[in-house]
Amino acid sequence: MRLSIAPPLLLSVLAAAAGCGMDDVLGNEGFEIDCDGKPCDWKLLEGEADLSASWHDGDAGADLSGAGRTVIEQRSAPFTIPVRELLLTAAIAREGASLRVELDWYVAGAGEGPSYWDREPLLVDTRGFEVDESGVFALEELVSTPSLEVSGLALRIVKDGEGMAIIDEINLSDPAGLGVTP
Amino acid sequence: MTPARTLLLATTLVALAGGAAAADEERFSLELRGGVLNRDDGGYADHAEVYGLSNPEIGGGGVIEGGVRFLPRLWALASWSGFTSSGPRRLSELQVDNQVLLGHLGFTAYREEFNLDGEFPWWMRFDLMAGAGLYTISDDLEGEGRSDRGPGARLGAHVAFGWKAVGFSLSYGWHMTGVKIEDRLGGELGAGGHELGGGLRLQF
Repeated sequence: MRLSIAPPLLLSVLAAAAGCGMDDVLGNEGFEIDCDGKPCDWKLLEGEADLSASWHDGDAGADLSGAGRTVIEQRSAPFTIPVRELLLTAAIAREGASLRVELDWYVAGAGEGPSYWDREPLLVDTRGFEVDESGVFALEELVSTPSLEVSGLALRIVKDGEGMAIIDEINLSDPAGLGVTP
Repeated sequence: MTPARTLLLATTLVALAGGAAAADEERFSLELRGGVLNRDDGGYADHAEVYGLSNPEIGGGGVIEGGVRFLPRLWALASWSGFTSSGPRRLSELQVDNQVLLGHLGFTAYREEFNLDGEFPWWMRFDLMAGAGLYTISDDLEGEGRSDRGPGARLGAHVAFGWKAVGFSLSYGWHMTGVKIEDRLGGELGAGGHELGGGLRLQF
């Protein structure tokens, strides 16, 4: 008897069996990879933030505390996902300020250019959620992607109001363990 | 009567109540114990865990303790102990160290020698201890850290049994001190806490 398994599924199963099933869609989840004094992959879009410390002086993270609106963003592409539901985890310290996570999901564009973002990817949907819990806690939130075809993501952390908002160890992965392929 | 006089009188009564020591009873002791210290956590250890590091509340380490008996049941002792914990996360590692240097007063509440059939003479003892001294604690993560030092006290209970000069000791100690480190979120980790240990006892 011949076992017939589609090659992508077989690769996913093999990757999961090899312990590669929880690969992260995002890069530099702990803000500790340094690019000329700034954390690689993360951009400060609005406001002021200290991206060098979180709960401890020696642990890099995004400290968005203070007054006003602050937005940081990471773009990630291309990747493939085996399921539409992904698990977003993060370490958060929040008191007073509001915190929102926004996810722009893209499919690949047909333009010309050296990178995914230069080739004019198409925005499929923007989804997000408010972080309601306060204190120091490990966030776990299932997020739904609009389609299995998405291959690009712009993830934004939006802080509003006054108070403490420190975020670190941001990870977006497949909870079923089949593994995303960044 | 002042508190100091009351304490002196109580100590003398306790020492006399212990009875006379045998002529061949040990006068010196040396203990090498391994153990763990469950540090007083005021949020620091929980924060470390939330941010992906191992919980540093429990540290492993050891104690060196030497003593001399100066009254039938009373001992003067000195000890050094060190406890460390380390929690790796990817290429980073959070390390918390604390050290304690103490002087103690020990009271032998129970001491008995046994000799089963005259073939295997062994002994057992139970000591209560109270000590005070210097406490330090420090942490390090990626070269950044904080430290603190100051006074503290320890109350302890020790059980030991053995053969001739060699024995095995089990100990419990309650460390009380305000020495602590703080994280950026206001969490604290104290150098005090509850210590459990066991190890070798030599007595002469």
